[in-house]
Amino acid sequence: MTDFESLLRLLTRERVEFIIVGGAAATVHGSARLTQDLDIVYRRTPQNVRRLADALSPYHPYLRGAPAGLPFRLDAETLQRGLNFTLVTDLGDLDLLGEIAGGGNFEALFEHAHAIEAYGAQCHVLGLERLIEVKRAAGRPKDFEAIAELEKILEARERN
Amino acid sequence: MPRAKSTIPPDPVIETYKKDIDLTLLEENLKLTVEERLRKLMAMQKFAEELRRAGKRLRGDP
Repeated sequence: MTDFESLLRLLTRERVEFIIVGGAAATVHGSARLTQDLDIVYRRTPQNVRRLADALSPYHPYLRGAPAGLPFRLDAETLQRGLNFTLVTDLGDLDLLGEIAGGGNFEALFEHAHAIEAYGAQCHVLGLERLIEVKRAAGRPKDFEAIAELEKILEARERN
Repeated sequence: MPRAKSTIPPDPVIETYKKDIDLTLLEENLKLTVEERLRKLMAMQKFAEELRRAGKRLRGDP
């Protein structure tokens, strides 16, 4: 199980700049679908990358699906050299995304993000319309049902 | 202030999928706070994991 509460508390306490995207963002907007991981787009400034690596290192981040024993250390240098990381941690599955298809990086997405408060933590989630657009742009058949649900939520909002 | 209407054009494939969406589930979720929605998601994950474990036991998997 992914401990969303602990992950959000940790990232905000360590002042990591990030935006919640993907299935967890859909949940925030009212989706009833089950998602297994937390997807975040993180800001790729040297300071933020260092904060992110330092925040996660006590929770044994490791590449999800990689064979055990593969040498991997999540530090600022690793994050700077790569872009997107799918991780398993002691707090659950966490995807760190430097950018997303159809949405771009943190800066591009931030103007479409909304501040939310959960578990006493202030963080940002991608807005519903942009989330739909990003999922549409990805063009994955597995997302069709999720997109349909998000559009129904958007319609419900517009009615109210 | 009234919310602006969406500018997302309809997609015929997505429109087909919309017919099968359970609106009652969405209506219930929309009554919850963000934190309540995330707590519900974690509870669903826990339930799904328990079902997976039960399935393994049923199949006699180690």
